[in-house]
Amino acid sequence: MAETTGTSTLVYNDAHGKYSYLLWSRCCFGVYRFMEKQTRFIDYGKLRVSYNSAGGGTTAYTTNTGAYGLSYAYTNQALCRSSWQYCKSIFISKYCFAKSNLIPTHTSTSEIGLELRGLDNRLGLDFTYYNKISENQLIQFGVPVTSGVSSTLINGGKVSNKGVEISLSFTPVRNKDFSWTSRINFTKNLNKVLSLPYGVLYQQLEAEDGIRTVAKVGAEYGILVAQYGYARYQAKDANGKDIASPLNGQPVLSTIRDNTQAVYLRAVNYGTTPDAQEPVIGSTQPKFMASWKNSFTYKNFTIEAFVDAKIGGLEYSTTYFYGHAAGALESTLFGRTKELGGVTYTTLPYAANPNSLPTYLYNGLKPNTQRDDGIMLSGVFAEGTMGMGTDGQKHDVSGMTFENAVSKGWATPVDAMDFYVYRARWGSGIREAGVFENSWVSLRQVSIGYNLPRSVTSKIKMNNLRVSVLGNNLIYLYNSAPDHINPENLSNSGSGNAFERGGVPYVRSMGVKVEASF
Amino acid sequence: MNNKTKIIQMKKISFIILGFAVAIMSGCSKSQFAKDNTDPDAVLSIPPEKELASGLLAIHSNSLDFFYDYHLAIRPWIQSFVGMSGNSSNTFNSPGNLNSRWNQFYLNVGANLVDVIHLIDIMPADKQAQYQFMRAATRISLAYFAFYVSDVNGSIPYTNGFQARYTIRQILLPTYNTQENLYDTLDAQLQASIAVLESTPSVEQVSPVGNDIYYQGNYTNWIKAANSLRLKIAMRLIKRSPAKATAIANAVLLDKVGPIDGLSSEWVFEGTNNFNPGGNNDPNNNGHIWAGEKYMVDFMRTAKDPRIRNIYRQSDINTKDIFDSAQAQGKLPAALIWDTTGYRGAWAAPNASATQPGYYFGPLNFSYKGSTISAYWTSHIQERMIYAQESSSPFGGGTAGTGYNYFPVITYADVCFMRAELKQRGLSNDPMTVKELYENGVTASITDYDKWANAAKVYQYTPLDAAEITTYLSMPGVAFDAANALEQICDQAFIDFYVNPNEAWALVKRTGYPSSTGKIMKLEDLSTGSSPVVMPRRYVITFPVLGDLNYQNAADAINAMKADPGFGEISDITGRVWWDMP
Repeated sequence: MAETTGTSTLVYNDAHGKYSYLLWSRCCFGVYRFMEKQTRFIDYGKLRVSYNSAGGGTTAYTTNTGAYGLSYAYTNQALCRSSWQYCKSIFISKYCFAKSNLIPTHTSTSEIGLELRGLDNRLGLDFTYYNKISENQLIQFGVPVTSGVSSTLINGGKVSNKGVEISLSFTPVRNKDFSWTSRINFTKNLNKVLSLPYGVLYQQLEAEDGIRTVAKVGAEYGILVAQYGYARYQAKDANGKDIASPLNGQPVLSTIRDNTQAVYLRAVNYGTTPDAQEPVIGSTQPKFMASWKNSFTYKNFTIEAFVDAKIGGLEYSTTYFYGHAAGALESTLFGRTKELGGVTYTTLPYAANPNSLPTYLYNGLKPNTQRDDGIMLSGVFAEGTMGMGTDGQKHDVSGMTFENAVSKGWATPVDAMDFYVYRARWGSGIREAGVFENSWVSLRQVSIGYNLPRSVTSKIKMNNLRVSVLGNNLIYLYNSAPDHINPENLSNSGSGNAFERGGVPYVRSMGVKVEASF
Repeated sequence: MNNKTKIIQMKKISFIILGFAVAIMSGCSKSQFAKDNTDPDAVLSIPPEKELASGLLAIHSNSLDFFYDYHLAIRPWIQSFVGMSGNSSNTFNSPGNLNSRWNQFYLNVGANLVDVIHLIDIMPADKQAQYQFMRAATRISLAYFAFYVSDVNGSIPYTNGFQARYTIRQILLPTYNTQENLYDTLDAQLQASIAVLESTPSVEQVSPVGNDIYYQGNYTNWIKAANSLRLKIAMRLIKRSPAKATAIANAVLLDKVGPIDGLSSEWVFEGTNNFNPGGNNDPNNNGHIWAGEKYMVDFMRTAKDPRIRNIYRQSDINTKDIFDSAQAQGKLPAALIWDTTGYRGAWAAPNASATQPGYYFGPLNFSYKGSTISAYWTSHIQERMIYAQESSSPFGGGTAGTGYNYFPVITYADVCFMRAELKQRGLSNDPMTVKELYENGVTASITDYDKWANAAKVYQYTPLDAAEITTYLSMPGVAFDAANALEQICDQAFIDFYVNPNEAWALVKRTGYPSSTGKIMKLEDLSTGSSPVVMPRRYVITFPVLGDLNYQNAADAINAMKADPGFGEISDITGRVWWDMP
């Protein structure tokens, strides 16, 4: 089947624009059945092969830029002296400039599927493999604001999505009073960014402060990168050339508070190349998704349980990250006392100005005191870093591991409070420390239903009356997120979003449902 | 289910192939589509003057600039604000969210003002001729904001910027102007604007009237504004190129209209009571309470500066009676003598609480006339002077202010101080004496502060008595003293810039005054003590991220700035932009 259709969204207000596209598909399918009496092993088989091609436009009005909006007076805010007319001013209201030669998008999808049913319909399998190529995408592409707009709407980019969907259903028990049916779904999608507009290699999808997801050419869509990630150590020779070292790739450390406290450095403050300034942390895309539904029916009772799962993919949580700075999360207990993993150490004898600070170091610790809330950092000190030694002198700790520097007495384990506060604070924190794997298995729904007997329903002129009790989002059977963070609380539903924000918990709901048919 | 499947049961493979059919779309015409795809609310063509107001308003409507840049960064950095409970060394770091002026320029101020110019330039010739004065005036404000953005960023796109909307000159990847080139470019454009506005127009000019938020279409005042902005550029050039600064200054002074020459031609935006478009103008947002700096308050109080009551509120401990109660209850040291004033500053040095008496920091709770009061020893700022809506009680309760604020760009006092400094440095042939210029500046500043405080309905406003100016001008440290003239000029300009912190900061960077080693009005030396800090001098320069389309231009501009040793690392806010030469 094919038809030519068009979209008004690609027509400009002077009536120019290429707006029509061909919509067509071919589909072939076969149905194969065995005689019931001969084998009962396979009752039904279907093979699907299809290809379809589709186009599209954008949303209404977006191609017509250069449009203005009315200023404050019309939003009922008298921002200016009432006697002056400028309250009714007009301003540029669109920051996305649409190119004047946009064409429709194009998506082609090839799909092959096999559907089998057997054992007297007690076993079913549906398998689909698809390959979808999207090109000439209408992308609102970020451009430098110095050009006067923040984005342009252009055609560009090519993304492929390949994947399999497998659905397996079976009925282990089926007799007069009792039946058990079960259905497992499994999906795996692999996507790849083939090209981006303007020949760039990265396009931002979603962003939090200092950490973002990008589409990167040649890689999966939704790669997590962070300027405020850990800096990765790179050893250099005397001429500043990169050299091999077993320490390469380790987090980089620096010192603050007159070299008394070791801290992690941000990648952007260490790297010398754009890649090193914004390292890749990993993919946010799931390895696979799966679900499993079981239904048990006994006479008029039905019990259903539905479990779904997402496995793999990274997530960054502001709740988790800033919760660390506040020391509000269970995981920040680590290191606070000896029992909680704290390292025993003696605070520095140092006080910068003995007259004004007789008893306290910069970070509020009494000097020369034994404490057991030390945390050992893991990493290598950046070139040119000085460390305050236990001898009250500063030492060059460049290129030394933290452990090594501590053993020499040139660095001190960091007290737990300062460790968490500095690593997770807004102005200096390492956002990568707020990243974790987002995998979960959720008991999504359980319901218990009862069908009233026909003898009862017929009396009240009903065909069917079913009463059920159900619960949604009951529990995570498995949750890789730390501190009971709700991994599904993403800040929006964008395809590149991997950012949890606001700490909204997993909300369980319970209910009673009555279904009636007349 | 079994019954159903039996009905459709078949014995052999069926293979069905569906053909395809073609249906040609018909009906919808392109012009109908064009109409459908045009937002009925869209305004597609406008008279340029209507957009002028938006561009000008945007200069003052960026409340992130007020809150983060002014209240949390610049003012504390230059000791104009001190946290009521003292500063920490973090006060002198970046509070984050700085430099919103960048986007404000490229997406609002500049985008609109450049569009005004564009709309004029695409008019038919006869109509275009009627708009030449408006076009010239628009360029002056555009130049001001470019200057303002560059002031903390160094190189910025200007000449090639803003061109994405215009198909003919569509430039998505603008190159950067170095600050040096930007100053030359802006100065040339200001001269061109002045030349147009001083010419006799060939046809009657369209007036922007109410859309001109500063001068309501008074083009003579716009000439004065342009000349004053030229002077401001000249001041920035004093170290890099004294000859250029002199040439500009003398040209401005010889111009037939000249710079701003009185209160009536000041380049000031008069807001309304609720002028707080982004909601963040309030300096007390997020629980901040601000005091003045100890030495500055002492200087103003001792010299009987009439502006003191418009900039600071009297301390809670402002009568001997309250003082005695606090002292009797051990909240103030027994040896402390009643100072007969309600105006006291706070210590700006980080962790000053370790070295200064404790009663300077945090509220003192004591019983007074039978009830417990919580009183600060130091005086907090007159919040309404910068945020007219402020409650009469910053600690909760109170009533909202009903006045309004003025937002100065360049005032007459500012021009007087610039001229005085240029003359004092021997960089201009100003016909007036340094003393005249200095005294005119002080007088203009005090007069403005009285007018602005009255409009803002500051707490316990007391009108200015003209005799106060005379008295003030005769006080030690204020009375003109040729031997300390430069410091006096700068200190007075610093006080005058209380409401214009970007200029106050630039003044400190440029001249070093007020100085911790000064003879007139000191500020604290923050470079020693237990938590030495260095005053920041610019903002973090953001290196472009991968995928930034303009990566090359931005990286080139930043790397070129880094070649100057004074610039420092991009994230080092104590580094210097081009004009800020050591």
